[in-house]
Amino acid sequence: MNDLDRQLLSRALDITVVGTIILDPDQKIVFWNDWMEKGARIHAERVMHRPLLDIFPELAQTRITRAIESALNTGLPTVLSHRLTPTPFPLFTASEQTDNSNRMSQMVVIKAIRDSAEIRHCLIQIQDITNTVSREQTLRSQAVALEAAKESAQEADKAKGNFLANMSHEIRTPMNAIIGMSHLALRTDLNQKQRDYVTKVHASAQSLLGIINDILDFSKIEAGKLTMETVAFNLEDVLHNVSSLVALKAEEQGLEVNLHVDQNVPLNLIGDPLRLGQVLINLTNNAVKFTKKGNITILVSTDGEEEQGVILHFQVRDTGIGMTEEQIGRLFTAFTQADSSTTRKFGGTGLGLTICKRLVEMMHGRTWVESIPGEGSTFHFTALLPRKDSDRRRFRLPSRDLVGRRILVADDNPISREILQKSFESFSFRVTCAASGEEAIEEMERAIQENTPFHMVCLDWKMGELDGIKTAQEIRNRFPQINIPKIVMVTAYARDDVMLAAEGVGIDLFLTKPVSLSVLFESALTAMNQDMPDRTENSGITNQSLDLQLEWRGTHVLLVEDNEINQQVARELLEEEGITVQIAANGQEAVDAVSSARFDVVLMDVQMPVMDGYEASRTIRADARFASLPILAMTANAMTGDREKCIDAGMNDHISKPIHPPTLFATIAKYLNLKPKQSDPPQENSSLEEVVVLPDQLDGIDMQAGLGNVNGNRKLYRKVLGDVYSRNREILAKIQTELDQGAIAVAQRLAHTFKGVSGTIGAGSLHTQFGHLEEILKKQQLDQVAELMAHLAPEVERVMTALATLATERVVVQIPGVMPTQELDTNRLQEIFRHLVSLIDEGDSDAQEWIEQAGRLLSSSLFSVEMQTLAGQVEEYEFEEAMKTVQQIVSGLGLTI
Amino acid sequence: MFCLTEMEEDALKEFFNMGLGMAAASLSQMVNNEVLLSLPQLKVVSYEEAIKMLVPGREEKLVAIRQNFTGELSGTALLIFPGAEGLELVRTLLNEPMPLEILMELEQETLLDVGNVVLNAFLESFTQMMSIQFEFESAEFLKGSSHFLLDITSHLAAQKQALVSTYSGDDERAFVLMMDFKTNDAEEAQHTLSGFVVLLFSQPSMEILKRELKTIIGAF
Repeated sequence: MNDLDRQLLSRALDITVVGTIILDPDQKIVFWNDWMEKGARIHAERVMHRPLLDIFPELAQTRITRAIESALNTGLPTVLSHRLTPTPFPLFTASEQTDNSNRMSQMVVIKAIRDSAEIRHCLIQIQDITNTVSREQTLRSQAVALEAAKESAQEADKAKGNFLANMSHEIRTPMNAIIGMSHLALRTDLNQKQRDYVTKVHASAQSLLGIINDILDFSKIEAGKLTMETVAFNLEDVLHNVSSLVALKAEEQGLEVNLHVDQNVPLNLIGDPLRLGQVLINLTNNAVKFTKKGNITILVSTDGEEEQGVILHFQVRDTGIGMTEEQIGRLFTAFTQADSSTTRKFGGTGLGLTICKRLVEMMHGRTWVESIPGEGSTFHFTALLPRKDSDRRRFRLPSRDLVGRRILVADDNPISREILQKSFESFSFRVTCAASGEEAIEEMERAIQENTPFHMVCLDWKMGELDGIKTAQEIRNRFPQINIPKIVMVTAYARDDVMLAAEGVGIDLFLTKPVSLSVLFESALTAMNQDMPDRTENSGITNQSLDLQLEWRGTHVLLVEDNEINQQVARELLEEEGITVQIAANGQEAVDAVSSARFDVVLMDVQMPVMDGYEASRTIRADARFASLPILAMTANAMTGDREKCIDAGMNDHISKPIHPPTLFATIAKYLNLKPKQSDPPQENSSLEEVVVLPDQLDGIDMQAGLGNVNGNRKLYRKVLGDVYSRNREILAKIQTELDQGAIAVAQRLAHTFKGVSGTIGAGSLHTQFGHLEEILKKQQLDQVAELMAHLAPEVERVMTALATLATERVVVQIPGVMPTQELDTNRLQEIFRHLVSLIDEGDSDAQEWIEQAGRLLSSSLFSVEMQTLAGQVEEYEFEEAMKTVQQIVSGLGLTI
Repeated sequence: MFCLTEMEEDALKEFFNMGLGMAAASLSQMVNNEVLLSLPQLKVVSYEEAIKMLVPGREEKLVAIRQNFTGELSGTALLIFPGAEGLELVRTLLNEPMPLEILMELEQETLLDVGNVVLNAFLESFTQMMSIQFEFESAEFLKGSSHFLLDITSHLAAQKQALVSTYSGDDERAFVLMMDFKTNDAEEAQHTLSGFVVLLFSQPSMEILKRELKTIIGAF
């Protein structure tokens, strides 16, 4: 290398962006570049040939010195990082630093280099990393702040969730009082205005409760506290509940609800039926809310089979306002609806879909929507549900002689037509479809010509020119009796309306849409005169309708509840059914009470002072005597986990507040061995050998219902039937006479009385129609009276003819020598009413006491309305009116005074 | 096929252990906290076996500190960490909770520093025993898959040696040393982190190494 080269290289090293020092083997500085001059603020001339430690004495005994030694002695290079080098070179940066010291942060590389004589020198290279250090510090502190912000946000979110959950609980408690009390109030005698107010209070409270439940669910989901139950359930029960809840609302809006379950969908599944129902109800309610006309269709099919279970695919279709792609994108977000103006128009919290989506996810399914604006939407969701057993769905098949029977389905709605067709076909019937009444008639004619007549015709009520009723009439007129099949009317509208409209047309059976498969099957068999096969698993409906007719009297209930209002609500509900109720205000009182008296069931609130429900239950269970005493929790926490907590504490079941009376009774009934009311002979009569002759059936009268109304007292029923015939044979003529004389009020009262009487004996159709007549008279719509009366005549005739046969028979066949105690009851009634009449005559308000006495003797449903009216009249000192009422009752009961 | 006798292997282990002691002392001093280093295994393995040892069952990015050495005996020393372990080591050594999930520039530098200290200690004890001269390059920070890190040709490409030695992949051999770092944090909780020290030699270097080992053992 020549001198010029050396000059160049030295210059290049001078101006690099790296601080460069070269030390000779004695650690003396032999090179110090420009960068070092600036950084150390020391000129090269001042350092040359001086030991490094002379210039920087602070570096003695540091990593830098050791690294230099290592490089010179062994040739090993060292990288010294900023963080691990507490004593770096004392250098300064060009820019001003925050700490004012302007110290330079460095990374130092120290290595050996050999000169031309192979002698090791030490090369020190220093990088200024001050900017990197400060940048990373900023980043790091930002990250720390972000982390803290994230944590506090999560914390706040959790707190919010807990707050909502607690609030919801706090709100549910008074809600119980509002809903329960208004429910009770509606059963008392209210004037029209009051009834209107209380009805609205009740309805508003219910809808408020719905919102609170949504918030509770949502907050539980957010807090990750929502759990799914895994119990065996029947899919049809769930669907039935959904349709019965939704049908009413849909009907009010004139919408049809159709329901179809594919043939291969298994019905016995394991999962959370309440949550599944909740999702379906929510989606269906939404569909109803956003649909002005048309129909709602619920479809269930299978989307394949997995090891863990079957994937069910649910669809809820509507013909509503629909949504755009953009609106769909915004769905399923909490507090959002398709758009904010829609929210205002349709109301709602917008929580429902979010909850549905999460619930579906918890069922290992997914949720999606298809929609065309203006045409409607279809909400889909899937759920993975294990089968209860390996059995596939039980097929409903009728007995062999009914297999392959021909059914004609006439419906103008293609969806509902297809559903009916598929359903009937799944029962092995052969189905022909018609899109109108006219087509149906044509099909029937063809069938008769081909000698393959139909066994049953299903007619939709509302369709085109020839509606269901007209079609039925046409069938009856056109075809000979022998060729007339059973006629079933399927309708989405209130049964009473249709029954009224179809009066005299000869409809064999009415069905309300949506019709569940089991109802359809049983109805088809009934219509074709075959008894339905026993269902081993009772559906929810049958259970519930049975419960309502159970004999509750003699049941002793311990009600453990600290809140006085809730005590009142529950007690009155129970006492109304004749249940004896004892109250305990806390867990300790409950424990004391069960050991001192006998109870059939304990209703246990959970949160109470002194001793809570869990502990009380544990204490009671600890006593072997009460091992099987049913304890039912009543809590305002309607969550799955709460139920489990109750069961863990030894309770048998859980009823959530606010109390829903049918659920309350159904739940209690599960744990008691109650006898059905109608088959239960009156207890007083148990020693009496009495035979009351009643025909097996009476035209136009539902005898089971009638007997139920008199608590199964056959003798009383027989007597009432006889009296109805003897006193009301000429009811229409009587009314007509009053009308002719312009005594509309009297005519109205007669209609009212007869309505009550026919209701009592179980003449449902008469009951409805006379109610209608009463209404018309009340509204003075006299132009409609004649038509309705004419309409009524054949039905009255039918019932009276049936009753006439009874009147000629002997009333009672008595076993000689035994006094009928029932007779005493009548005597007692006679005596009470005699008193009552004289007290009312004198205008004595003591009559109230006797009214109560009489009320106790009469069953809850017998003349209950009249008894209430009577009590009200006496209370208001309207004795003249009261006298009329008491006479109505006396005559209705067939007493002589 | 290269293999070591038991004696040779023991001798190597001994050198390495001496190096480790020095490294641990330096590290402890640097971080003001006791750092214990141990060497549970030493293996002479093929390229494929080495890859299996480094990433059992998964292919992920590794971080490594590389130090090349040249001279009569040439090769590469690597300290390899599975990605997260390197980050973890820096953070426990500095005893600093760091919210960032990536290895930042300064942290890479710190890891380079630590790796350099460890590798220097190894190399020092290794070379002190040998009668031959070494030249060392500066330590470098690398990221890559195990295939990339263990491919000696890529390391040698950085060296002048690559120009003269043609390499057959079949017979690549490596020393793999599993290495555990034990540190105590502020809460006196003990952290154990595992890394690997890998020494890769070119084929001629392996022969020289074996010759040197024989000389050393013979001297005792």
